[in-house]
Amino acid sequence: MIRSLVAGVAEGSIYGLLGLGIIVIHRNSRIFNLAHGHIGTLAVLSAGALDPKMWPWGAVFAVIIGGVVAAGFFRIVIERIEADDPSSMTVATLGLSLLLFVIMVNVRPSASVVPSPMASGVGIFGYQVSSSQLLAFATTVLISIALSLFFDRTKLGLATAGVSLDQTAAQMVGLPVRWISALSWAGGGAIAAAAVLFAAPVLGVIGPAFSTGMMVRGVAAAIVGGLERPFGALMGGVAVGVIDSVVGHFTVASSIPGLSTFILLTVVVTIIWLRPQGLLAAAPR
Amino acid sequence: MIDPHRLGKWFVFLVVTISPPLLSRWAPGVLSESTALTLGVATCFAAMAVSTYVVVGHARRISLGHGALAGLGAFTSGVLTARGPQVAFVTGLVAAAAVGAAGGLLLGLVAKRLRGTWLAVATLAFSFALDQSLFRARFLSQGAPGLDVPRPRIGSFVFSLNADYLSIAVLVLALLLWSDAHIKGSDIGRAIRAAGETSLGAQAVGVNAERMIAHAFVISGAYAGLSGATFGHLLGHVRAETFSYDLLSLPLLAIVVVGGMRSRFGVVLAALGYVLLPRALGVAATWGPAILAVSLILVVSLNRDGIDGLLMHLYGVRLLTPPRKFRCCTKLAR
Repeated sequence: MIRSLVAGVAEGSIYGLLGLGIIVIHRNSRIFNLAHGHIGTLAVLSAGALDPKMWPWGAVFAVIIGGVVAAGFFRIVIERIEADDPSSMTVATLGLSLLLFVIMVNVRPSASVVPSPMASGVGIFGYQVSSSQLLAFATTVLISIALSLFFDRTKLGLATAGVSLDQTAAQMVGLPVRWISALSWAGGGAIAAAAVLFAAPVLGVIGPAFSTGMMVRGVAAAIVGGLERPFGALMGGVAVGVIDSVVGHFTVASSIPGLSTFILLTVVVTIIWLRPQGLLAAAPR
Repeated sequence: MIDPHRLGKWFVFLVVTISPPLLSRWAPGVLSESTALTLGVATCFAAMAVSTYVVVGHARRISLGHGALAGLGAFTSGVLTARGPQVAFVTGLVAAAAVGAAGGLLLGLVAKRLRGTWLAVATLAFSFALDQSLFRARFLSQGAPGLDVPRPRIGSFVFSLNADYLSIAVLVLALLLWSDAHIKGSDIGRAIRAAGETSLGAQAVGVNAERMIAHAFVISGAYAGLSGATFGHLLGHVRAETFSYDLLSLPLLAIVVVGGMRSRFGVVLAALGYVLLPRALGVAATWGPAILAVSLILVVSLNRDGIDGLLMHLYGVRLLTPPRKFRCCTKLAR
């Protein structure tokens, strides 16, 4: 029980990192990037970042590719859609996810098994926390701190939210609206690649089908965490990881597989249903 | 007095329904079994796309849950006809439509309060959760392997030939098109469209907009269950993967948007094209969805009316949709 709790926290920090990427884009464009997992997986696979020989340059390439794909998609497609039409933007990200899915299915069809994380590490309550998991946790915390400072203390950070709140006003005060939005998307894509980079060794598998699961857990973490604060995503991710792992612990012998996913998503839909405008958001429009 | 226009429609329907079994017997070179299977898959995709169109086109709400609704229908009909009571094919279809409608009600209750990107996430969660857990349950599909589903039979005649079953699939598609045309013009259909176009305006004329959205999801769920069951019996084997988010729910929404959200026949055309075009072009089947994905991105960013609008642009006439007195927007609800 405690063992699965610790495992949940360790995995949850990765989901928190995924959620961070969702939040960065949602803050700017007010949509969920439903191609999040696909961008990350494609970046990691195409950079070959999981090959130990490629370390650390593979990881750097993956993060750059993730950022470039997301920012390029924004400049080429999302930008052409009117800013007050989030439904069409969401559908556009669906198109991107389908395209990346097809590319991955054809180029690398089978889910490749990633070598399990190094055995070295620290035992906490009988759960062997590997060094890659510790690194993932530390990275998530660091990125959360950096992002909260960036959002709250810098003019550019404030501007990333400002352009979505009132685009015309942002343009009138001279903000480069398109570049600020592209920057947000690049950040989201880069974080997606980093998260998948950490997630693959922990889950032991990576492939096209895996990217939808990543996206779903990232969105779940972002929604549970409230979509506003970077630390919310971290908390949300840990909550998602703990639900996943503890429910999985109790239902391992059940005749229905994937019950933990089922319960997790029921929780998420209930949250959306009770607070359609987001957990911590102000009154509805 | 017989309306010649309607007579023409009946004629086309009869020819399309009756010709596959006859062709396969008298001219097997024209309609081989594998061609009949492809055509059957295309017809079932068209039927499932029409069910998605009810929500996306009339109620203007995103749905990423229709693959799962179709899956509910397929598993319901599969379990009832293959195991347990071993009921007749038609009974299985009716039960599938009922279960699909129940699933649609569940989505509709959520959709009453949500729109846009939030509804997309909620319906996606529905599809992903069913695909990952319930559809893989041991009592439903023996885990991953899936469930073997029989073809229908009348007396001693079994629809084991794909060409014979193709007639049934065409019949189901025609039933959905016919019923959608009638519902669209009825009071409830017009109320649903009003609620979809402008929720505030609908409420101003006394339409309960939220309830109408839920109604749309129930109707659409019944259609999805029916067409999903038809699809399952065509394949003869029902697995979770066939009805997963990536392989069905997402393509169905894409087909409806690419077809042009306001045109029923544009949607049917897009669905047929999704299945048949890769084969006609000689592209590997796994690359097929790429065409759909690229057209989806193009439609969303450039031309909102999809295939329907493209034909309008090329020929200057709206071929697929009759002209309307009221031009309305083609956006989804925000």
